[in-house]
Amino acid sequence: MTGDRKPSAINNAAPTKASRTKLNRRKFLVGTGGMLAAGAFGAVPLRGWAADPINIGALYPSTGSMAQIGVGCVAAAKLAVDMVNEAGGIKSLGGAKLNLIVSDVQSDATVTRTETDRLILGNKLSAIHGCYASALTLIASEVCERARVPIITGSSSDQLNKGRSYTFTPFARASQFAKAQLQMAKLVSEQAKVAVIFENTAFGTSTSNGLKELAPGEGVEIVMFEPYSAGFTDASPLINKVKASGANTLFSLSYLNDLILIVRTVKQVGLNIAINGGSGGFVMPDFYKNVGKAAEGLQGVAHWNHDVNDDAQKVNAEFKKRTGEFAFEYAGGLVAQTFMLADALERAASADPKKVREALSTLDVSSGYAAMAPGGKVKFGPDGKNVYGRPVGVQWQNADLASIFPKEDARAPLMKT
Amino acid sequence: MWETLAQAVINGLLIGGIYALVSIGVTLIFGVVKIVNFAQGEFVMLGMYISFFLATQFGIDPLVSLVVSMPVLFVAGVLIQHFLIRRVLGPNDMPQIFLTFALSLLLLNLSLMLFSANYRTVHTSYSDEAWHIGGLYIPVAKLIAFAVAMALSGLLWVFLHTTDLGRAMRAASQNRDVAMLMGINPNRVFAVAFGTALALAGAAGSLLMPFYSAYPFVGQVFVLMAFVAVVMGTLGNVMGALVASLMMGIAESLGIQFVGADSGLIVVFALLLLTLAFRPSGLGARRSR
Amino acid sequence: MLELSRVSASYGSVPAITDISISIGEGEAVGLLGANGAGKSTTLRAVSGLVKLFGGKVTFDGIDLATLPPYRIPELGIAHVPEGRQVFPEMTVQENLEIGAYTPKAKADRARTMELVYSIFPRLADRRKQLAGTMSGGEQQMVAVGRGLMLKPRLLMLDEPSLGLAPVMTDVTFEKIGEIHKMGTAILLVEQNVSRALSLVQRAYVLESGNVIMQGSSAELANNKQVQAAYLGI
Repeated sequence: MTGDRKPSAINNAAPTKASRTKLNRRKFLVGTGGMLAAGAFGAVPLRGWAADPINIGALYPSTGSMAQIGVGCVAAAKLAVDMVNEAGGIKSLGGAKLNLIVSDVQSDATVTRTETDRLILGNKLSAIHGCYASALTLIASEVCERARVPIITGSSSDQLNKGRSYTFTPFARASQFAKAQLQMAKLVSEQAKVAVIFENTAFGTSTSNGLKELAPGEGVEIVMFEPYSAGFTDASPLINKVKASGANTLFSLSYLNDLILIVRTVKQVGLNIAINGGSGGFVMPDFYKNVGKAAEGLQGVAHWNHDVNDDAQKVNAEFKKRTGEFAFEYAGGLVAQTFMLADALERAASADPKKVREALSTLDVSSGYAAMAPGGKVKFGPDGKNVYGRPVGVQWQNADLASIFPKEDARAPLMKT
Repeated sequence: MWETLAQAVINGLLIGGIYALVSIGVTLIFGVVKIVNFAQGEFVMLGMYISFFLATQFGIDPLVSLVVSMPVLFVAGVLIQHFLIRRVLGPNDMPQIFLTFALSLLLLNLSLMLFSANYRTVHTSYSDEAWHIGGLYIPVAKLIAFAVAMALSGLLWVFLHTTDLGRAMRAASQNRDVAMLMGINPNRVFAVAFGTALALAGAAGSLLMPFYSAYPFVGQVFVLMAFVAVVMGTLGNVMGALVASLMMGIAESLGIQFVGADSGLIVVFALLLLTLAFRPSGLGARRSR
Repeated sequence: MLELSRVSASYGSVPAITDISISIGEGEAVGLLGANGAGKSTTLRAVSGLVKLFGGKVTFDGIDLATLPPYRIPELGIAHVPEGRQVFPEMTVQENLEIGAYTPKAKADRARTMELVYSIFPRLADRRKQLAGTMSGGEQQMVAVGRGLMLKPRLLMLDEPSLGLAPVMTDVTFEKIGEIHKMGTAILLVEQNVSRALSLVQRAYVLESGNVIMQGSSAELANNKQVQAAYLGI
């Protein structure tokens, strides 16, 4: 397992405590001073002291029920840090390297709270990112707000934008996902009749409520609206209900295991219905591996996709080389998030978390890895929401996830099923 | 309406067969060895992984790999009973509770380490197939699983009622001391009971594999139902656990169908409470007591 | 045949016995009498290995029983019909009898022994498919004794066979025990009903607070003033 229970440092830098900073600085000068002098003919950098590594906290569930995606996130976070560091680190801080401190939140709300506390208290952090699962991010962001450490997250819950000033969400919100899904339903049929089934968690509830509110405005009729408990053993009764509802599109807001059951059961029942799996487990590489050909033509929405632009393709190629899988939305999003942090650090010229927050709040990018998002631009509003953020509609085509919606982001046409 | 009802009952009955295999194992161990095996679900998980790896490495159909998963888990059960459980049997329940609980955590975390948290599925030719009869459909993989589960339960019943070893197991579960007075070696009977229970868990795992994903936590989904069935069907009563499991499968399915998709467990627990209110010792208990 | 020499034992809440010495010969019927809590049942359990000895020795045909696990003792031909009958309630009468012949030697003759048991207790033959737990106390006692007989024992140890039975059933039970004894099986009978027991056995030991306080032939004990006062209500 990549995730350790204790926060672990990578890139050869130990977690620094405030009291040890001076010692490290001296060591650094002694150790590198001579070499620098010899190499650069006395051009000892004036800001050499500032090249202490910049600690970025990473909170992901690398054990427990959410570990599958959590482990992928950690791999992406490492890739992102390597990319920033290889490009010269933070120049305004003397080329300081980013140092990732990973902490395993064990897919558990209580552990998330204590681990976030521990991560902040035990390390001098400039910023945090995590936890992918909205339920956990909601808790971690509360702790971050209190400790005044900025957190940047790919989680989509709209709750994250309420009354928070240290929380930044660069990607589309759950409510926007809903709108995109509804519009996609109309790609399938002008008379869109939608059955909505969702797991009764923060993620499922917030997304489904968004759908319900927006459906009339989009001219989509919701003929069934049903929460279910995650981790069921049999999807048949649920699909039975879908069948009875007469829907032509099924929105299933589920994590992977439930979704696999649902898709298989739909096939068994012989129900001819377009399935939009939303985000979550559906847009993960594993989904196709598990479901096989039955996945072809299934639609979903993501906050990021690897064919969004050339930069994303590059990230995808590198991630594939490291993990063997294509860069899923959280992975690609995390690389973008890390570059947003790097941009903020560059402008703040400080590792102080409050200054990093200031710089994040004035972030405005439209090119480079930091802008690698559907819409191609990132600028945070006062609620920490990216004002340009929008989701991308995707479809499984030939074992790959292709962007098909909206028109501006589409890289392939809709495949009719 | 009637079609929906019939379909819900079919769905519930089919999944109830899997619950039965798990709960029969739990109740067998409880009845004979007098301990609660909290790790039973993890053995279902191991059965699933055995079938998964045999399928992906050697292309063996999960249903065929039953002949591997069952003996492997039987032997594991005998060894666990002999080297672990036997040492903590005594008047105090606490060591047994901690032992099987620790075993559960150990297996869970070991499998997380070895297999990762990824969902693993096996795609067979019949995984997505279903028979359509009128307006009803019967998923083939689940029907096979149900049929095999019932056949195994039947075999266990025959074993318990017609063989000397089976009768010895029942005798030991009803009165351990008197069983010894008959010349029954309790350690041998316990080992066979534990092995049999784990073999059933392994069978459940193999039968699940064509239509359910394997992941380290998968056992916990089934073990909760198993414990409910064991209590509802009277502790230690194999037939009671079987009937209760099927009832719970149907109750869950009807709950999802007619109450709400997040109410399956609510209906199951309501059924449990209702049963206990009228028959405090469960379905399998004789009224006279 | 069975020899207890200076046996001491206790276990949990079971009444303790100290320094008990008892012997039973082949085909003999011996009583173990005394009040509740005197240690009579503990003595039987010490023979069967259900309580651990902390002193003394129990031998059967010269074999030290402490060297055997409890489940090996029935193989020697010692059947123990425990107090309170303790049939297997969820098993049928027939199954109870079958399990009684679990040892290899007894198993070989199972069918024939069962015929014998059914001939002694015709009532059981009528009810062979009934669950033992649903029967009356007297019938359960028949099952328990019959189950003990299935072992084809050389020594049948009976713990309070009349406990909780109606007088009519007690008569029947003792009559049957007499028949079994006449077939050549040695009997070790634990009883509180001293007068009934003395009418059946040849010799008896009287226990009090875990000690043997008296022993003798049935006639001697029946005429003993102390026994009469304490146990026979004369």
